Amino acid sequence: MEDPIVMEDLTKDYSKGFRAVDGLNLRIKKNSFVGFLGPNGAGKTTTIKMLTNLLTVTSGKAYMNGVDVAHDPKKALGAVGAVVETPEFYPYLTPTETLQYMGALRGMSKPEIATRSKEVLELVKMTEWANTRIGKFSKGMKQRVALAQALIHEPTVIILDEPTSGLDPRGMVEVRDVLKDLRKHDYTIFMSSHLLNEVQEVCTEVALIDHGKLLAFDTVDALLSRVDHKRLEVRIANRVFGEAMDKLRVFEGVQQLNIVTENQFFIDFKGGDEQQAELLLKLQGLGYKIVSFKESGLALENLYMSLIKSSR
Amino acid sequence: MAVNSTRQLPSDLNQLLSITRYDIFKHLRSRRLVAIFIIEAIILALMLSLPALLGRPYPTDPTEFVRNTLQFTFTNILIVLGATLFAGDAICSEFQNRTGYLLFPNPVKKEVIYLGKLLSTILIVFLVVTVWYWVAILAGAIVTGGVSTLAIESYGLAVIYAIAASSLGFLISSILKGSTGALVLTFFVLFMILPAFDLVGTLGGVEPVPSLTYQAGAIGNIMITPYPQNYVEYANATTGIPFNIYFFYPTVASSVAVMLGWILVTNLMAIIIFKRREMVG
Repeated sequence: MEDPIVMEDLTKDYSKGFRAVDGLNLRIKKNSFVGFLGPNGAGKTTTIKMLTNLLTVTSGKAYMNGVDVAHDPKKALGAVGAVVETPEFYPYLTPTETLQYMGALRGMSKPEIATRSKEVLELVKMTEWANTRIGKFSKGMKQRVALAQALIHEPTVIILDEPTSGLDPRGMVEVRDVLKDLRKHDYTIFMSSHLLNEVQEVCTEVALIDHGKLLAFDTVDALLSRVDHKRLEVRIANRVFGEAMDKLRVFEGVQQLNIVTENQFFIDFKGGDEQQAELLLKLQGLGYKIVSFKESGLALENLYMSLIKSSR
Repeated sequence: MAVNSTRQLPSDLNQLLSITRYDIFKHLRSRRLVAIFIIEAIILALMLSLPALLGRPYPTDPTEFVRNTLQFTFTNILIVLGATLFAGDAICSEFQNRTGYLLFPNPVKKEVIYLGKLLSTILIVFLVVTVWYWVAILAGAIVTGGVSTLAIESYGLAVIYAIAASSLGFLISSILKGSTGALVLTFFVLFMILPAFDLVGTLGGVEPVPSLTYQAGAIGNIMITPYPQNYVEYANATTGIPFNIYFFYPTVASSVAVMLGWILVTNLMAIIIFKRREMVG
């Protein structure tokens, strides 16, 4: 059986020779929830726009459910639901009318649209505003309607481009709850984000991209097991002193020291759990009165930073 | 919630009709349609009541009644306004307002989206022109007791011109990035730029046959009996005119042919441009 999303040497050049996506090869398996991670300008949105026929492909191929998007976009996007960037809605339509419109374009019958509209509006917690014109909605409300329209026709593939972008913390939590709920169903989801905690929280697999090139693609667990780069935050009761710091710098695995205050510093550390425990003993041996010794940031963030750094 | 991968997509025609239907909602719920109907109502009320207010008799000939009521200048302005307001930003607004991010990732061919929007605009400008003509034609029937067939022919030409002007608006909208620029350019092309070419051509003794606005002159000419013919007033030392003055009148046949040509060419070009246009930024 065909993988639902396949990219083969996918390349996009903009005018003035800027290459946004550079020979991207990626196969997304059925029923997986893949996070598409990368810094701003890495090529995430460009890739998603090529998958959804919003941009033409310079070279290479993008297949959705086995159909070349550039060759037959209607067939390729038939079972796809997408939220690209933050779409704007027709302000004169209500969420119910918008869903009727999108449902009609997908060939849904009127009773089917009515039933599904209720379900998806409930899922995104927009039932209360179902018959209010969208023109007055906040960005968060629009984002939820965007999710609803992507789900109305029960697609097999869902493509989301930074679905929590621009939302307030509460809106982010609500959208993430919806995303986690989607995991329970038979969808294949491809979601771009630059929020590492979000990806670590909701995705089963992660594809890392920078400068339009794929850096890593694996399950979240497998990627996390590769993480041996950590940032350790150390808080001490006494003061940071130079001689001890010099000794610490040459300790195995210590990459860099960053003194924040006289009672706090960060250690960029490369090594496993054993070496990390040794480092703690070494700090105590150097005369530091350790108040706290902990990993700073997410494991995925550390991997992300090291991969991005080495790709540049 | 089960995933349904077996749903049959609707035909292009069904999708086109869905797009037309929801685009008509846009027009029906917009202030633009209300504004153009208010303008129409004010002009019609003034023109229909003017003879009574001035104490002059109404024409007894139904064609003359309609011609006096509508006036080609007003008809032309109304059609240019309609094409500007309902076609000028039809395509570029999808890009500028970012609604394209909602519509374009759907499994719908871009030419179907274009034609669906064009059809909705045509239906709306048809409605505007129909109200304009038929209020005058029916008022003429009540006052004179007859219906002018020439006025109905003029109405037919006005509908074709409205479609051609809207098609030009769609072409401009497919090319330009911003709605305001597209609206302003559509208005000025139809109201000033093409008429300026017509004037220059006429002054130089060249009949501006390919011009859309020149050919639209048949809308008013058809209600003149006999139908006016081209003629020249030659330079004459006795009258003091140092150059020839040319008077050109498009025939009905050339008017229909050229306007249909504009509809075909502008829409073909617009579809090609729209299909190639990317959702960037």
